[in-house]
Amino acid sequence: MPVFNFVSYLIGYVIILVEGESLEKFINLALDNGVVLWDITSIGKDRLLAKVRLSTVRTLRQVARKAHCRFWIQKRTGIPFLYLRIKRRKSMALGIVIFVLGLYLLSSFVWFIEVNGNHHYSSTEVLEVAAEAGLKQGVLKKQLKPKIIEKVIQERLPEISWVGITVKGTRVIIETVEKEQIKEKNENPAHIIAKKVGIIKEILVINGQAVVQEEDMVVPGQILISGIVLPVKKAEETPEQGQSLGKVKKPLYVHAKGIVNARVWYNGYGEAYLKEKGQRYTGRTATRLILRTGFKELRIGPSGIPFTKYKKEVTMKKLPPWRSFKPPVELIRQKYYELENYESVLDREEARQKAWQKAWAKVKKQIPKQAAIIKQETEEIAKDQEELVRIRILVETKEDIGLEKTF
Amino acid sequence: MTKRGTAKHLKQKVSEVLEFPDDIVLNLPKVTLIGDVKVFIENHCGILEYTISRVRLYTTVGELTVNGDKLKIRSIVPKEICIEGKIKGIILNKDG
Repeated sequence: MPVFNFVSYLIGYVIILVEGESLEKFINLALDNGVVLWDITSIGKDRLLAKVRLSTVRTLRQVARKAHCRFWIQKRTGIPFLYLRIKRRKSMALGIVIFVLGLYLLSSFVWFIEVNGNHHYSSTEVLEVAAEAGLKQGVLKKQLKPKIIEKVIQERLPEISWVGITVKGTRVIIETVEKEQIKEKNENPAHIIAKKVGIIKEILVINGQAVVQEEDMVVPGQILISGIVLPVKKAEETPEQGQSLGKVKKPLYVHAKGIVNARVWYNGYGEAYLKEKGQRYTGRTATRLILRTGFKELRIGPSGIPFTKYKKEVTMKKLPPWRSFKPPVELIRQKYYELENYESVLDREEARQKAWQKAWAKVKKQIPKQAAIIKQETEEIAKDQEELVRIRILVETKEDIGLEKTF
Repeated sequence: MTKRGTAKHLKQKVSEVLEFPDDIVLNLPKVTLIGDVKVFIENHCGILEYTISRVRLYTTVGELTVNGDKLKIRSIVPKEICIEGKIKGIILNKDG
């Protein structure tokens, strides 16, 4: 039956209203003449509805005459009628064709290019090279040869060790993996200078000449190990400087190397109110989309803002401009985060802890990872204050404060 | 026994011996009822009456009446008819 219905749809069928005294005779005669009727429904006395294929309607007219019945076509269904209807509305058909064609055409171009994984080269650099290789906005996807583009990018940008180009719809993603930067050994003459204020605890010179001593206080920028090795009066005592023996009294320039450990102090301050008032997120959000074309705005989503207090976040999306033409369509996405007032009361100990945490977070940010903490002091300032607890943390660390600097 | 009667008798015998289905050999109506919603009748010889509550068919063994509600002829081809609707009864009445 489904096949029968489908074929009927293809070749077209009509729903007819038959009227007459001997409808049974009409049906029997139709059968004898090879006219297939289906879905015969009686609608009152001497009237019925039936479906009949378009190709047999002509035969049915003769049948109706013989059976003394009359019939009218109520509804036409199927491809032939659809075709006729389309023929009558040519512009609409044209529109459909243009739409489908346009969709197909537009989807066969590259519209967006994304570059991922690049640090050494900027995205524009990669895109420029890709454009020269034939990958730019507006090229046909068919003409794209990912293998060749990958090769060109790799050749032109030597720091990139692997490039992968994937096409996703109208978006092309250039995935790059860059070579691990191997630092060239810098052998240019250099000093080691201090990067922080501190008191030198120990100094180990591998190359160069120490200019500070233990227990010396240093300031940032001060030279710790000099790259200028002044000639020693007794040349025999310094065998490394044997080569410079000939040119005595000329200083030797080296790349200073060494470890300078120093005591460094950090402090952090934090405070907490015993009574706290503020606003915080409740976690509830609402999103609204607005489609703007020219001056008209089409809103998608809730009309009002369901929150009394909120923070708004707006992101805009535009189509990429083409030459000087900017598409007048934008998608605006507004996200609302609900806020609520809160008030919390802490006792002094809790407030102290909170202040300490804040202070500690500040200290921790300053201390480099390699530093070893040797001393830590917590101090509460101005204890007598009523609604405020203020905490200062003082941390002493031992760390390498040396920094290479060429000259 | 008339000539036609003899032929019929012979056919029946043959179909009995060879175990052929009677409906094929003797052109007897075969009624398939699916619940109370659908009925297929094979080997019918034409419609005698069709209304929303009753369909009467002519068959080789006489008149076959299907009673029901909202009856609808789903499909009709020579020899086979499918009736849909709420079927209440099927009656076979011999001629006369």
